[in-house]
Parts: sequence; C-alpha cells; structure tokens
Amino acid sequence: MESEEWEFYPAVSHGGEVAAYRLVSEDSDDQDGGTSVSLDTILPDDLLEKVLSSLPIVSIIRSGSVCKRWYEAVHSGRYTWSNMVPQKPWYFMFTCSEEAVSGYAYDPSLRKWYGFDFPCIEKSNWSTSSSCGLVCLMDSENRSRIFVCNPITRDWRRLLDAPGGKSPDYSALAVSVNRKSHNYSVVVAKCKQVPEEYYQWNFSIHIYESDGASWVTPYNDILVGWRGGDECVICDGVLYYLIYSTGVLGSIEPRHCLVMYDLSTRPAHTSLMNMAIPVPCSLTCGRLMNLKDRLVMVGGIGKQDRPGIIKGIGIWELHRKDWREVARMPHKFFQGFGEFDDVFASSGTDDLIYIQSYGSPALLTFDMSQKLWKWAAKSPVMKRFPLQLFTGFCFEPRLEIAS
Amino acid sequence: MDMEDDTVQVRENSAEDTEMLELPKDPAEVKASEFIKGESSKEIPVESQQPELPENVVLQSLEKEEFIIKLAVGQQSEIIKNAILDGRGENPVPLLNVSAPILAKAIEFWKRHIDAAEGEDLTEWDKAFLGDLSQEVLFELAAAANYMESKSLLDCTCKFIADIIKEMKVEEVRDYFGIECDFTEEEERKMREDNAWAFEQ
Repeated sequence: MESEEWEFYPAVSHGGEVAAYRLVSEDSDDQDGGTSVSLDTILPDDLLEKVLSSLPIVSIIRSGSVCKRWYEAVHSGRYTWSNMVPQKPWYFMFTCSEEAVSGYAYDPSLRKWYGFDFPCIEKSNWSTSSSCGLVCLMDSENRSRIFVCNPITRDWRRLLDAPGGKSPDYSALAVSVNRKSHNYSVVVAKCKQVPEEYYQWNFSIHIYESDGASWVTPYNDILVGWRGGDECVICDGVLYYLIYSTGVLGSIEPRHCLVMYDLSTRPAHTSLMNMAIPVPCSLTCGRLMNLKDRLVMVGGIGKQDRPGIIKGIGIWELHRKDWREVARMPHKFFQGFGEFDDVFASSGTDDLIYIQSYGSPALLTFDMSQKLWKWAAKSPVMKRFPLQLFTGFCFEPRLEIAS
Repeated sequence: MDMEDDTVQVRENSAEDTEMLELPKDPAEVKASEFIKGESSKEIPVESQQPELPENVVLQSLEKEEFIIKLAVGQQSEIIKNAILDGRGENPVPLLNVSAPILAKAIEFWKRHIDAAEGEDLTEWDKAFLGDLSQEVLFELAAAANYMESKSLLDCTCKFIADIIKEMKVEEVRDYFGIECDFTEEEERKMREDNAWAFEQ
C-alpha cells in the first residue's frame, strides 16, 4: 500500500464525519514524540466533550483555558453537563470570625483541598443550604437578603427580598433544585416570639420559585410551647423543620421534634403538630440533610437530664414516621475531634455525610452506601488560638446549573 | 477473485451457514483469518435463533482491506450490528473512515471482551492494551470507536485519554495534543484568576 498525504479537516463538528486518517506506513516509526500535526484535530467536538466529561471537575475547569475550542467545549451549552452523574459533594471549611470569609474546599474524590474564594458569602454566620450544584445563602443581619450561586462557575444572583421581616428570632433556609429542569425552590422558615405572649411563637413559611421569580407565604400560624430553629431541609417536595420545645408545656422529652410541610399542596391551615415526629432520643443538636431524597438526620446524643453534654453522634434515616438508626460514630473518631461541643456542623448530599466539630478543623466523612467512617485529608485550615471556631457546609460541584 | 465470490455466496446462501465456514486458502484470507477464533474452520452446529443471520461478518477498511470476524464480535459496534440486522445484508460492511491497522486494533479489543468470562474484570487488560499504542493510534482508535458507535471501546479509550491528561498542567496538555494557544495573555490571566483554585498546584 502506498502511503498517502495527510488530510485533515478543520476542527468543527461534523457529526458523524471524521477527519481522514493517515495511513500507517513503515515511515511512521520515526514520528515518535513530536507529531507534526495536532492530535486535537483527530477528535471531533463530541469526542472531545466525551473525554472532558471523564475528567474530575478541577481538570475540566483547567481544560477550559487550553484553547478557544476547548473553552467552548467546557462552557457552551452544546454539551449538557447534566449527563454527568451526581458528584460526591465537596466541603467548604472556613474559620468563624468577623472578617470576610476565606476558606478551603475539600474534594473527596481526589482527597485534595483547594484555597477557595466562595462567591457571595460575606460573614461566617450566614445560613446556607445546597442542592444539586447550587448554594443558597441568607444574610444573618438581614434575613430577607438571599443569594443563590454556583460556586464552581461562580455564577450568582441575589433574589427578590424574602417576606417575613429582616430579624425574626429564628430562621432556617432550604433550597431544592430540579435536576432535569434546573428550576429551583427556596424556602425560608421564620419564627418569631409573639410579643407579650412568651410561650407563643409565630411560624411563617415563605417559598420562592425560580420559575416565576416571586415569593409566596402559604403558611403563617402560631405554635404554643414550641419554637423553630435554624435547621430545615427539603426532601422529595416536603419541607422538614426541626422545632424545639420551650419547656412551657412541662418537661417534654425528647425536646426536638420534626415537623413537615408539603410544598406542592401548600396547605394554609394545617396543624404542624399533628404530623410531628419526635426525634429518636434526647439530642443536643440535630442536623437535617437530603441524601438521595431520603431524610437523614445527624444528631448529637445527649443525656436526658443534662442536655448540654454530648456523649455520642448518631445517624438516622426517616422511613415514613419512624427513625431507623443507620450508624453511630465509633468512639475513636469521636475522641479524634478532641473537644466536642454539644453543637457541631454536619451536612451531606448524595451518599456522603460530613461532620465537623466547631472547635477543630478536623473533618470526618461517613459513606452511607458503604457504611464507612473515614477522616478527610488533613485540612490546611490551622487553629491559631484556643477559642478559634471553624465551620463549613457541603455542596455538589456541577457545571451546568446556573442561578 | 475468490473473495468476491465468497461474499456473494454469503448473501445468497445465508441460510446455509456451513458453506461459509469453508474458507479458501487465499493469501489475503490468511491475514483475515488471524482474527477469527480457532474453531471457526471446524464444523459448528447451526443453532442460532435467527437462522438468516450470518455467522461471520466481513468488514472493509478505508483501504478496502477485508476482515472476517464472528458476528458476536462485530455486534459490539452499532454500525456493524445495524448493517447486518436491518436486513440490508450489507456484507462486507464498509467502514470507510477506519484504516486497516486501527480496525485491527478495534477487532482485537472486541474479541478480548467477547471472550471474557462472566464477571471477569478486564480493566488491567484494557489499560495494558491501550498503553501499548502510540499516541496517534490511541486517538485514531477513539475516533474510530466514535464513528463505529462502539460504546465499550469508546468509553474505554476516552477514559484512558482523560486519565493521561487529568493531572497535567495546561501547558502540558497543549504539548500533548499539539495545540497552539489562541488566547491573548490578558485572556489567559483572567481565566486563571477567576478559577485560581483550579490552577494552584
């Protein structure tokens, strides 16, 4: 066979067509390292995109700056990054201080920490909630000021102000993104003590739909003897909210209770307490999360008579009305945190749960599918003085979701 | 040519499978037969569920070189599978965008995967197989897998290429692919700034 001349086509998408190939002749042996023609031209656009989609997120981002063609492949809508399977969540850790938030993001697949400039967040005491690549943030000083952002693409937006007042006594935030349509709902649950009636608390639930860009307040009612907190999550179209007994109705154990609100039917008049589910045992604190549309709670196990003392950490999953215990943190990990306050940070999504003590930058993970406890790689966040506090939250890194 | 007669014979006498197995010892055939399993020259009982399907498939490369393989091997490519199953009975199947050496490699891959025992993990074999290829052949094989719609080969080659570049710096990726950077210095600087975390080492 005669060896023929190279022919190659410009690197544009030809669909099924492919650039012609050079016939491999005996002369090819001396064409070792330096190819005279760019290998890039052998790959049509859809093939380049397929290669890129097999890369970890950090490499995909880097690939965008290789050349203009690659930039298009990474950033244009032509390839739907929606096809990428749900990613293991990253954890953004930072110190609690009055200063601007600066922290590190942990990638559990590569076990690497990145110095990360998180968009929108101004103070370390802001409330956060994340779903499917988007992170929702609420200003702690003005609880009606809400942002939504994609930390990877850095796309962000400030939402219309939420109703219900800027300074309720307690407020909780939750966001839920629809993976297919990319529309999202934000819920702010506000709780304010009724003036002159110290055992009455006003609960209001405010819902924002990205498709429509407006707020509604379908629920606004009084609860007696119970108050809201800062913990809520949306799971399969239902808002789950942890509420706390104020002790006014006598000693109720356990003091935490889970109430639910259906976000699709949005009843105006419903008794939250009728459907309330008490937590499985006395807790010092509870953290709610949505793991593959199952409601999971990580709770600090306390002593009945001494609620401020934590003696262990448990993980429960809600099945209809019952809690099923998934795991208990083994003693060695519990001790590994050093000091463990009665409250701690915990968040999770997909199959991974993160647990962090406020007093230390140590980070523990629990894999729900393998039932495996594992320390994250050592965090570059350093404890500089004894009373320094740390916190964080998790988010799924995704490229296609926009605010 | 004898080969022409054979292919004509395949189409006309597709019901009589045993006839196809008697391959003439043509020099061109000797090369093609390297790709056929050893037992094919023996008598094989006709027990296929669709008697009108040929037991073997002839593939034709860019250079019109012909390769004879078993149907099961070729069915790992949607293009080949459809060419046979959709009743056109197109045999040989023309794969005019794939050169002979690349097609040979694809066939080698498919054969190994078809021969795999139930639940056998071929990851190590796949890595060794692709690792042996030159950069160019690897890329051409990926493009051929894309064209021939062979999911297993496509997934494997793309993941392999991705693994090569995933830890590379941007400059190294450009070297590897032979790409000229067409951004201005300013544009590049801005991209790195916007996503500083991805570029730190």
